[in-house]
Amino acid sequence: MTNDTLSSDVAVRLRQRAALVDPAAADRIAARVTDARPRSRRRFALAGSAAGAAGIGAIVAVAVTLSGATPAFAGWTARPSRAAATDAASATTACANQLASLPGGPGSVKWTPTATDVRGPYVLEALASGSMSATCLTGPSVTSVSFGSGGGSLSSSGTSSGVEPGGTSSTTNYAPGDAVTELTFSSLDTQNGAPFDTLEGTVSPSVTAVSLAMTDGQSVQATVNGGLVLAWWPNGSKPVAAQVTTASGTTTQSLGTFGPGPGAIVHGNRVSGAPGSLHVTKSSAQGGLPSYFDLKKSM
Amino acid sequence: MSRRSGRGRDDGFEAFAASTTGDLLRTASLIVWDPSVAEDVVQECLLQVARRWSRVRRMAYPAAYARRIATNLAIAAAERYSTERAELAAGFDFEPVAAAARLALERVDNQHDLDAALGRLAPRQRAVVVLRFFEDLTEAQTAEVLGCSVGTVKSTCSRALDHLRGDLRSEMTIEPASSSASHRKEPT
Repeated sequence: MTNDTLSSDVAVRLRQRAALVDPAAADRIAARVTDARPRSRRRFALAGSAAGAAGIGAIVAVAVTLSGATPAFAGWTARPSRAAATDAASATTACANQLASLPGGPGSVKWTPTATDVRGPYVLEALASGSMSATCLTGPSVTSVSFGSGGGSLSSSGTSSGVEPGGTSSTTNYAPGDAVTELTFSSLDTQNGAPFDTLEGTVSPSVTAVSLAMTDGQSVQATVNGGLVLAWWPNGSKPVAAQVTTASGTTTQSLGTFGPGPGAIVHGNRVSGAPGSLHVTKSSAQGGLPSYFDLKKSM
Repeated sequence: MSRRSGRGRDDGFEAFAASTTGDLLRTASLIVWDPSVAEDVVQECLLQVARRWSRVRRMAYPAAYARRIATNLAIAAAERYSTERAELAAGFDFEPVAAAARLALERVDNQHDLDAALGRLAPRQRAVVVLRFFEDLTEAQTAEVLGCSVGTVKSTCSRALDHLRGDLRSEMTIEPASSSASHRKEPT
């Protein structure tokens, strides 16, 4: 039997078997899921530069702007500090401007911070605007924004001494009842080899503090705000567990392994072009399947 | 952080679920090879989509995203089901003869049957076969759904077809009996 004959027979047999699926079952499932949808949902999508959940076809745009030589995030602290209103407002403005400048981006819209994480001179913000969401890291030497949108596939490469937004991103959903319910881990690398990673997610409303135990043995205190958790760090280590504090005490939750497993989004941008240039290519998603894009701008 | 009501809103999820659940269920059923398990798979898939609907709805192809989740959940469920079944069989030795006899009978009844051969494929092989020959995806598209390389899809598909061909070989060896008759000299 030739491959063509066999595959043809297989196709026929599969279609025959698929036709036996009870249509009423599909209706029942759809109704059950629609009824079971949560009353409220997270407002912002946690998108790092390699953003989006593992396997998610969300289109993510990333822009990174660097000015001058880039110290490896000097002044970063493992414990976040309280955001000064002026610093937060300034960061939001810088992020909004950067987002507005993204080719194929959201344009000029009003962004509202939903969570702010401050470490030394750096501000990481989760932003929302209508149905859009974005994440933005600003500091003395870097402005990095990312947002999710739909439609097509974009890729771009910038140049020069910038942050290399190639990296990976994956989302983990934890068991019902866990204090930490969902985390998106995004890993980025600067061109000069200095990695930085972001962790964004949701926690039970009763959680007041989250401390991340890292692979390098250190701990990073995350920012917790209204059921959201937000943190980033520059040393390339990964979180392995979360020490979660609620009114009733502190517990430890294993976070599993983050990384580019099956379905994770893997970005591998390469920088090319003249300094200050921005090269954007656009292509449609192939064959009805989602693709991803990174959009990067280095100055 | 602003939140919005999740129920009663018309954000398109209900229509999405209504229009895609049937397709997801058919694909999952073929991968899992068990309709009841497939229902659980599709339900979990749609719940995952619902949790991320604000992002998924803005994708170019939300249905492709859902298919990707459903496929991978189905493979995991089928692998788990196979393992549990094997462990269960190993744990109940008190009726080995009956179980073995039943399985043997099933095998004899089905050994020439393509349907049964498909059911005996490893879950990931069956997933590749389903995506390639039922969903009519290209090798590249199949690779994207499964999160693997095109080369892996090719080799997995090739092995799956080899398994099917091997299962059907006995049937093929019977077929030549009629053709060999044509070589028999007819009395003149």
